[in-house]
Amino acid sequence: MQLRNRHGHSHKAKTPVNVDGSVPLNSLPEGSKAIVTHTSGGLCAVRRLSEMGLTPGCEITLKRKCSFRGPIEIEVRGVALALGYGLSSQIFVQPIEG
Amino acid sequence: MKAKKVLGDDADIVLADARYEQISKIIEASLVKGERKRTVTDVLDKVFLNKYVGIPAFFALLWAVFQFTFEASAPFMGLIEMLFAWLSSLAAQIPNEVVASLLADGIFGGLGFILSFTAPIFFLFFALSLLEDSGYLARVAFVFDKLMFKLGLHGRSFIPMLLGFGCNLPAIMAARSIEGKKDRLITILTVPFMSCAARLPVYVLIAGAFFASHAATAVWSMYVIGIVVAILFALLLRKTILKGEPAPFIIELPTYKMPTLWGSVLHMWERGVSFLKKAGTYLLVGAIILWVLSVLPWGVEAGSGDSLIGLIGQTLQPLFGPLGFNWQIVSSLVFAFLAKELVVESLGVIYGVGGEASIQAALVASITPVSAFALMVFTLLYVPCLATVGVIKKETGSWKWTLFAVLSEMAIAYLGALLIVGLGGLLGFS
Repeated sequence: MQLRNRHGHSHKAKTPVNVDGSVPLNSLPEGSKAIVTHTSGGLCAVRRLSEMGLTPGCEITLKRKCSFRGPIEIEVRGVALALGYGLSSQIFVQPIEG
Repeated sequence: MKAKKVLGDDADIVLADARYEQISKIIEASLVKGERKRTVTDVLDKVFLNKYVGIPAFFALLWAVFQFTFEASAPFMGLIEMLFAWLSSLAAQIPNEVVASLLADGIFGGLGFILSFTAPIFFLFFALSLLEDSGYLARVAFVFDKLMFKLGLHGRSFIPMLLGFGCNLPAIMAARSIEGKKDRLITILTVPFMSCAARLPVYVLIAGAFFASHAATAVWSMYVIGIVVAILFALLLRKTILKGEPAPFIIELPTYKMPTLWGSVLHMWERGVSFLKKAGTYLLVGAIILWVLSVLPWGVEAGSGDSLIGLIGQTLQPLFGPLGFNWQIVSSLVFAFLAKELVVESLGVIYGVGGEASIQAALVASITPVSAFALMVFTLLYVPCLATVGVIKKETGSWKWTLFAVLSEMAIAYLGALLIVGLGGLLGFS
C-alpha cells in the first residue's frame, strides 16, 4: 500500500493527473465520491489525516466546496470533516463514476 | 517501540491505518445499517456553512446572544444592586469612621456593584454554552477558514478567539491545540482583542448612559471591532515578524445536537463560578487598594483631585487629552490593569457615587458621546488584565513576547480610540 508519494507529480499544472489517474481532492465537483490513493503533504499532515480516519483506500464523499481557495467538507467513514484548501490539494483521489 | 524502529516515522500512520481497518471489520460484522440520520444537520449546514450567508449568519447569532444577555439580565442586576446598597447602608452605621468607610464605600459599594454584573456574565456564558453544545462552534471554524487562510492562519485559530469572548485565560490556553509554533503565537497575541466577559460591565455602563435605545447594538459593535482588530493584527504579524505558511487545517464537523438546558446551565455555572472566584480575589484586593488610594492623604474628600488616585489620574491625563478623557477616567483605566471590571468600580469611587444610574449621570456630564465610544474602544483593546499577562508569559515562555503583547496592545488601543474620536469629528458628532 502506498502511503505517501512526495515525488513524481507536478504541483504546477492546474489539475495534475497522475499516472494512476488520481486527481487532487479539491478538483472534484460537489457531491462526487472518490477513493483516496495517497497524500503528498508533510508527515505531520499525513499523520493527522490518518488519525481522523482518512487513510489510503477509504471512500470519501465531497459534500461541500467553498468558493475559490476556501475549505471543503467531506464525509469519510460516516463522519463529516472540514479540510483547509491547502490540505485538500495535497490529497489525491480516484474518482468513482456515477 | 519496536514498530517505530522498523517502520520509522510512519509507524503512527500504519497504526492508524490498521486501527481503522479493524474498526470497519468489526462494524461490518456487528452493525445493521439504519437510515441516515444527518438530515437535520444537512439542512442546517445549508445555511450555516453557506459560502454567502455563513458569515452573516454568525454575526446575526452573535447579535442575538448579546440582545438576550442584555435583556434577560437587567432585572437580576437591579436586585443584586439593591442588596448591596442595603448592606452598604448597614455598614455605614458602624461607629468607627475608618472601618465604616472601608466597608461601606470600599467593599460593599465597589465590590457589590461589580457583582451586580455577574448577571450579564452568567447569561453570556449560558448563551455561549448553547452554541458550543449544539455543535455550531466547529462550523464557525469552517466558515472562517477561508478568511483566516488569507490572514495566514486557519479556521482552528478562530475557536480560541471565540472562547476569548468568555474569558481570555482559557482561550489563550486553548491555543495549545494549534499545531505550528507561529500559528500558535499569532493566536495567543490576538486573543486579547476578543472582548472577554469582564469588559462587558464597562460597555453596559457606558452604552446604557450614552446610547440608550441602541445600547445592545453599541455593545455588539465592540465585539465586532475586537474581531476586526484581531484579524488585522494577525495579518500584520504574519506579514512582518512571523512569516510563513499556516499548518494544515482539519477539523471534525459533528452532527448538530439539541443542547440540553441542564448541560448548558452546568457549563454556565462552572465558568461563572470561576469568574466569581476571580472577583473574590483580584477584585477584592483591587477594591481595597482603590479605597486606600482614594482616602489618602487622610482627610481629603474621598476620590477627589487631592487624593492619591486623583494625583495619578491628573499626572497621566495630558496623554489622553486628545481622546477627550478627563483625569477621573484616566485614573480608572490605570486601575483596570488589575482587571477590566475595575473601570466601573473605580469610576464609582472617584466620582464618589454608588449605583449604575449615578455613575452614568456623572459620565454624561463629563464627556461627549464620541469620547464615551472611544473609551469603550480603549477598554476593549488595551491590556486585558494582569492574569492574562501572566498566562501569556506562561504559554509563550518568553518575557520578550509578553512585553511585546503588552506594548502593542497599549499602542493599538490608543490609536483605535484616536481613530474613533477623529471619525466622530469628521462625521460631525462632538
